[in-house]
Formats: sequence, C-alpha cells, structure tokens
Amino acid sequence: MSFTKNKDTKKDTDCCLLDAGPDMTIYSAEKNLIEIKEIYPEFDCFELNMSAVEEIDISGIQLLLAISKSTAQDGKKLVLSEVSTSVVEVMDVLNIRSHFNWTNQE
Amino acid sequence: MSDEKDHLAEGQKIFEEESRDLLQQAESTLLLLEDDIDNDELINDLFRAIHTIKGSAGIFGFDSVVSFTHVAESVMGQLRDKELTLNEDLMNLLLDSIDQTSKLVAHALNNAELVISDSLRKTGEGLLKRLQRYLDSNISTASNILNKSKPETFHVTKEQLESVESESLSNNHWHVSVRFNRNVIANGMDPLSFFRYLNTIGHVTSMTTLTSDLPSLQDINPEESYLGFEINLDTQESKEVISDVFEFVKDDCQLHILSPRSKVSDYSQFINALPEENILIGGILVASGALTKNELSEVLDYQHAHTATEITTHKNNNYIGAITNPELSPNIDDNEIADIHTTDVANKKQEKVKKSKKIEQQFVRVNAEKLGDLINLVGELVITSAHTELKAKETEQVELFETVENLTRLVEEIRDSTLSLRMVQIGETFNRFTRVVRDTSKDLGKKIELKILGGDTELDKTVVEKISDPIMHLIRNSLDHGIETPNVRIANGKSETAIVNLEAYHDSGSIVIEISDDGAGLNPDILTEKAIEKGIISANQQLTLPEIHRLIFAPGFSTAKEVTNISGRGVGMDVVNRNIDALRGQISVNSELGVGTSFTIRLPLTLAIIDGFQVLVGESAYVIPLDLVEECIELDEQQTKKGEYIDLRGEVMPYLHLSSIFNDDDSSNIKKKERHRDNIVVVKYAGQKVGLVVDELLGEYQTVIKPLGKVFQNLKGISGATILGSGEVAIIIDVPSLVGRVF
Repeated sequence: MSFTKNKDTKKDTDCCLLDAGPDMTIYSAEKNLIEIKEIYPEFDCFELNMSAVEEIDISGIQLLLAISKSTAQDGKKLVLSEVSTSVVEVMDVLNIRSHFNWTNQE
Repeated sequence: MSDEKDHLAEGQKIFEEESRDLLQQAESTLLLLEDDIDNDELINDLFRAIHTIKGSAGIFGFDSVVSFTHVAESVMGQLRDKELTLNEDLMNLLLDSIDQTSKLVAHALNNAELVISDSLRKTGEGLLKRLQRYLDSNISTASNILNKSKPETFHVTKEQLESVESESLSNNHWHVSVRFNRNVIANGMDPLSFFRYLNTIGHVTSMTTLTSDLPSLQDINPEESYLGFEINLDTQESKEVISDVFEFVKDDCQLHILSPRSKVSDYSQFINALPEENILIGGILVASGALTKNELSEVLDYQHAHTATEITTHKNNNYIGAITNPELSPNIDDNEIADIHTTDVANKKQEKVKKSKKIEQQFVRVNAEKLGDLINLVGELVITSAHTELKAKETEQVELFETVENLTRLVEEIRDSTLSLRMVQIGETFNRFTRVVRDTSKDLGKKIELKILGGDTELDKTVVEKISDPIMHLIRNSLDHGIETPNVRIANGKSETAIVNLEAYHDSGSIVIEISDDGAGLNPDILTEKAIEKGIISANQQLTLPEIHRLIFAPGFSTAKEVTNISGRGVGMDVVNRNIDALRGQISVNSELGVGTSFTIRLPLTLAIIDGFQVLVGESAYVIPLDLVEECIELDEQQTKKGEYIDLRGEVMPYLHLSSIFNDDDSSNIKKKERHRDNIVVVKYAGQKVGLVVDELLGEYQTVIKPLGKVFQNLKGISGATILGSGEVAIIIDVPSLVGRVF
C-alpha cells in the first residue's frame, strides 16, 4: 500500500494525514495515483508523511507535483512532512523544494 | 520486478561486451598513437572510447569505473585540445589506466557488492595521482585546491570547476534544455539519472523544473512524462560530451544545448525552438542567470523584428532543425552559425557524420550457439539436396532435374554465405600482440618492432579463438629466446631494433600464419645436445636439420637455461603443436643460425563444410578437399614401371595408391581388369605435389565434414567422413598427412 490514511485523522474537517509507502517509482505509480484520487475529493487539506519513502523516481515526483498543482487550483492545502532523505536528494537534483510546503523545513 | 532484473542483466551483458571492445580499441589506438603522435583522429577515437565507457558505467551506477575513467578522460581531453603532448611516460600511464579500467569494469560486473581489493584500489590511487599531475600542470588556477584534496575522487574536479567558476563570467555557462517525450518513463528510462550524471561532467549551477505541461490529478497518466528542464551547466567539456549524456534517450527527448557566450540571435532561435511561451522561457533564462533582463529584452526585440521576414523564418527553421537534433550538430554552438550558408555546410557535415555512424552500427550481435545450429542445419540441407539431386537424376525427368539443379545452386550459395557469417578478420587478434611485444620488450630490455601483414585475412571465428594462444606463445618465445639483446645485435652487425613479422595469407584452401624474427636462430648443436640429455633421441641418432629443428616441439623440451616469467616452462612448444593439431593444422619451423627463425602455421579455412572432389577406389568413395586438387591426369602404364614416382612435365612427382593405403586391394584388382586406365589426382600441399592414384573420378561434391568418433580419431590419412546423397559414407582424405608420408 502506498498512500494510507493515518489513524490520527479524526474528522472529515481535519487535515488528512497520509503515509506514503516505500515505493514511489513507476512500478507503483498507477496504484499510488488511484489511491490519491480516491481520497482527494474527501478532504480539503492533506499532509503527506514522506518518512517511509525509500525509492522515488521521476514518476513519483510528477505525482507529488500534480497533487500540489491540483490542490492549488482547487483551493486545497498540501504539506509534506518528515520527508525522507531519498526524496530530498531527488528534489535537490531537480531543484523543486520550493514547489511544496514543508512542515519540517530545514 | 524480475523483468527489471532481466533487463538489467541484459544491459550489463551488452555493457560488458561493449566495454571490452572499446577498451581493446582504446589500447590499439594508443599503440598506433605511439608512432603517430599528432594524429588528431586517433586521439579523438581514444577519447570517445573512454568517454563511452564512462557514460555506460554511469548508467549502471558503477561509480568506481566512472570516477576513475573521468580523470583518465580529462587527461585525454587535454591531449585532444593540445594542452598536453603525448610522451612515453604518459603513454605508459594511459595504457596502465586502460588496464585498470578493464579490471574495474570486471569487478563492477562480477562482484559489485564486494569491496574493491586493496591491490586494485592502490593501483588505482597511484594511477590517479599520476594522471592528476598531468591535469595539474595545466590548470594553474585550481592547483592550490588540488594539492590539498584527495586526487582519487572526482569531487576534486568539481572543486576545481567551482574555483574556476568564481572567476568566470556569470554567463560563461552552457545552457541545456531538455523536454522528454511522453513515453520516456515507460521505456524504462529515469530522467533523474541523466541529471545526476550531468553533475559528474560539470557543475549544475541552476536547475529549473517546468511543470506547465503537467495535467491535474484527474487527467494525469502516471506513467507518462510531463516535465521540462532548463539547466545551467558549468563545465569544461565540449558540446558533444554534454549531448552524449543524453545518448540513451536521444530518440526520446528534445535536447537543446546553447554554448557559453552565445549571440543574441542564438538565444532568440533557442527560445523559439522550445514549446513553452517565449516570455516564460525568457524568464527562466533570466532566473537561471543565463541572460540578464536587458539581454532578454534585446533578444525579444530581435525576435520581433526578424520573424516578420520570410528569409529569417527559413533561416530559423534550418537552425531549429539543426539544434533539435543535437547529436548531429557538433558545430551548432559555433557562434558564426547565423549565416545560412554556414548552416548548410554544417548540415551536410552532420549528414556525413550520421552516415559514418550508420556504417559503424550495422552489426548484429548473434549468439554463437544459434550460428552453430544454423551451420549444422545448412550441413543437413546440403546432404539432403545431394540426395534429392541423385533421385532426380534417376527419374530422368528433365524438368525436375533442372529445378533440382537450381535448388542445388541456391543451397551452395546459402552454404557459402552461412559459412562466411563465422568468418572474421584475424587482424583484431593480431593487434592484441602489439601490446604484448611492446610490454615484453620493455621488460627484457630489448628493442623489438612487430610488423603485422595480412590482418584482413579471414578465417573461421572458432579457429581464430583457438589460434590466439599458440601464436602468443610463439611470439613470446621468439622475444625471449630468439631475439638478442641490443648489444649482442650490434656486435653481430645487425640493427639494434629487432623485427618480428606476423603475417597471415590464404594458400590453396588453407590459411597460413607466419611468425618470423631476425634473431639468433635455433642452434642445432644445442638442440641435439639437449634432446640427448632429455632422452628424446639417442646419442648416435643422425638427424637432418629440419628434424633437429622439429625437436623443439617434443614434449618436455626447453632450451632456456633459466625459467623466465615470459616463457621457458618447457611445456610451451609441445602444447602449441598439440593445439594446432587439434585444429587440423600443421606447424613447421625453419631457422638459420644467426639469421632468424620462422614458424609457419597452416590451418584449414573452415571446420564445417568444404568443396570436395569425389573419387572412387574399388567400391568405396573418397573425398579430397577440392582446394588442394591441382589437376587430374592419366597414369601412364610405362611410367609406373619406373617406381613410385612419375615425370610430371619435367618435375619428379611421387604418387601413392589410395587402394594400398586404405587396403582396398581386392576390389581394385578385380576392377583393374575391366578398366583400361588409372587416374592420378595431383594434390598440392605446402608447396609439395603428390599424386593419388584412384580408379574413378566422380567430380565436385559439397562435403559436410562429420567428425570421426573417438575410436577413429587417431587414424592417419583420414580427416573425417561425410554422407553422400545416396546415404553412403565417404571418407575425407587428410591430404597433409599423406603428403607428409611421402616427404
């Protein structure tokens, strides 16, 4: 499973806490997208916990950027938290840190 | 996931083969350069070979290979740019670097998970230090930093670049613009790896990821690529090197590279060529420091003024056409490109480059096993076609017979082209020895030049593979024992530099390989003495000179007083002889004391199918390899009375009765009464003619050689058997051994 709704998410009005799975590569891209699409209409705010992500490639990054783009268009909110080093490394290669809101900005 | 692993393994296999070829190529190029120091083309070849290895190793994440080759490549780059000149020390260093690369590649492929062994690492560090010294001598600006840092990692080069960067102008950077096609991820490429790799050839000073094409969550196809990238790169590498980074996705992306300090017109055309809106791209260029705001407005003004006229549009199209295919446009960064004529010239040049690349790439790698299967099948086809022809003749139907004739001709053509698939030029194998001679002569303190002749001679690949070791041994023997030290040579009135000739040529159905030197020659006295001492011959045995020379092939015979690490283990020549025997070849030696020695190896061209000449002796059919047949004559009753030789137009020619050799006496005696004449097939091998007396000549026959089973392997005079169209078995005559019986 890739995007799992965290138990701490209490009510629909709350920010939805999502735990990203270890694989954010092309191999899980389709699955990840379906999961995020399912949950996307239910909330107005998302916090993606990225601590478990071990592998991410360009498709994973695209998905994050697409979520970010959609939330901005729809007036929703997206924050990334506990971003793992592998994700940070890729974001730095592409210089896209500034595309996201971070809760644990270094 | 297992699919991914398969792909990876397959990719690595290709990398293994490719890098082996490239390293081999780099080595021979270097050796050629030794004699032709100023040959720019060779230096370019060298650079390209190492660069390609580095690039491919980068794709697989073989960091040890990448970091080592990176430094070696930098040195080669400076050679190419004439910042360094090739001297002997550098030559040795580069040769050693190629060896090191080859070891690192082998390590990465075979046991990447293990730590590199200490000796390999130490050699690497030593080499890198020496390479770095050459680099340092050229980059004075970075020298302070270099001395402090460890030379073995290529962070050095990064630091070096950064230090240069601080001094250079802000727009002294390359601008790289990449738009991947939608399917690039699905094709198994991760654009990230190219950007990571870009960081190894220079320093990315600015990176902008464009998301304007990215659809919303509802519309996105997660397996397609939507992002665009604008990169500012600070590097000393050429445009070619930068575009090579994207070599693996060259068909899957649009790549634009703008050289440092490009003209306003160039920027204008560059901006036009990109899919995004001009203002957006302009903004990115300003943000990334490629252009100042003023420069951008200049560019946009220029654009506005020029797009109106048709001529410019035409010019633009030309230009854009050129830059959208960066691989073909090594000259496009040239600042003078604005001229339409120049563009045309450049385009033509690029087409040439493309053509030559096409020629290079017209090879298909085929599994040797598949080729072997094909050759076996063709062998069966040949037999079946012979059978069909026989049956068709029996029916006496002209039309059928004509069709079958056509079929037979086609089968013959198929046979020839199938066999030629396995034919390779021997030159590649020969070139390997250049390095051996070079290194060995240095070790021994001798001056030796290797001359290669007939490198384009073709022979069966399986033969080439097996002949390499024996040749290596003969050459080493010649270097070690045959050739004298320079002092001795001068004292004997010879030139200081000895010459070893390695020559290949075709001679009546065989390939001949000659290894000759102008060294001391074989001393018959020492050879005899040694042979007696070893108990190979008895003390009172009288031998002719050729027989004495052949003693060196006797098992356990070694004349070298000391066992050196080059040769002289006393097993060599014996093994050489046996190896060549196994290939149905022969080796002979010819030597003159004080003048030199030459070894001649004769090998059959192919091991599978030959053109044969079918004859009948008594009831049995025999096949003589057609290439060895000189002529057929009638055996004159008068001449036979003189003994086992005849007068062939003034030449004395011995002859043999095949019937007596193969004990077909009974039948032939009966036949002789009925027959009014005997025939002699004159065969020629290694310059000697021998007649073979047979009862009947049956003519040419395509012969598929079936090897003999173990029981018959030691039979003299027979090299194999074949199946005739009628299903009968015919014996293939081993002409070399029969000729040897007479002389």
